[in-house]
Amino acid sequence: MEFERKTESDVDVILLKGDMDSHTSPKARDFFAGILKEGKKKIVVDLDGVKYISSAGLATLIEVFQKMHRYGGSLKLCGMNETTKGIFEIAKLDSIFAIYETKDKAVAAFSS
Amino acid sequence: MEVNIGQNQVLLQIKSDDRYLRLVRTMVEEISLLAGFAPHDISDIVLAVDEACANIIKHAYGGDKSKDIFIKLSLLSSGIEVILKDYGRKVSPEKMKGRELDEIRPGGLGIYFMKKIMDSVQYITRDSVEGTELIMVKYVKKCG
Repeated sequence: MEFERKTESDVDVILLKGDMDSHTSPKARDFFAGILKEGKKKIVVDLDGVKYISSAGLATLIEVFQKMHRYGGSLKLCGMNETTKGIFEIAKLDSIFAIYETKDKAVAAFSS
Repeated sequence: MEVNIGQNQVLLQIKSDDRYLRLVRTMVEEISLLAGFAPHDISDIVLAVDEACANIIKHAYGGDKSKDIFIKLSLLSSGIEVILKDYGRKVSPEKMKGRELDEIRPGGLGIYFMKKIMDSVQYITRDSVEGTELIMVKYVKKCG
């Protein structure tokens, strides 16, 4: 699993690449732990490079969502393929997370 | 596990190391395609088997990467049967009910996915036999 991080306006955009399963999720959890320590309040996670996500990957994103919520931050997701979107729907997480089609729409949503 | 396989079966043996889960997913995807499932169902079956393997690694073997997992896939006349055999800590079927989704928290979604996706999920343990056998079946939905 690979991670790219950039800043657009005052939003941290994280691009994930690879499968998010029980093998790769510990690495993702460590990566996000580092970002959350900085107290970032606006984060977009772009899942465009994620072909597959399991419950371990979902758990990682739920943890980030909950931790950010506790300190007043906000997490938005974007770039899901049909497979990933379907898994969010089965878990009924599509109504919990703020999900956008594209990264630009997710970033713009912080300004609206 | 019986190592003989029939004409419509595939058997994969892996160590209980989650770096092999991608290999399992690829195999399940290909067999599900052969079984005639639609792309959406194939993704779901892949998820269910992946979650079952991850549960074995975490719960039955406690994260020990050196143990054995057997995955036998059988093409049925209108579906697929997946049998997963481990030799770890026995699973208590009543503890494998899965959680409800009303509470948003990480973890515990694996069993929920398996039961939601597959038409049948059955844990079999016997006092005289080591480990657990998990049998999951999914049928091809006929259109029209």
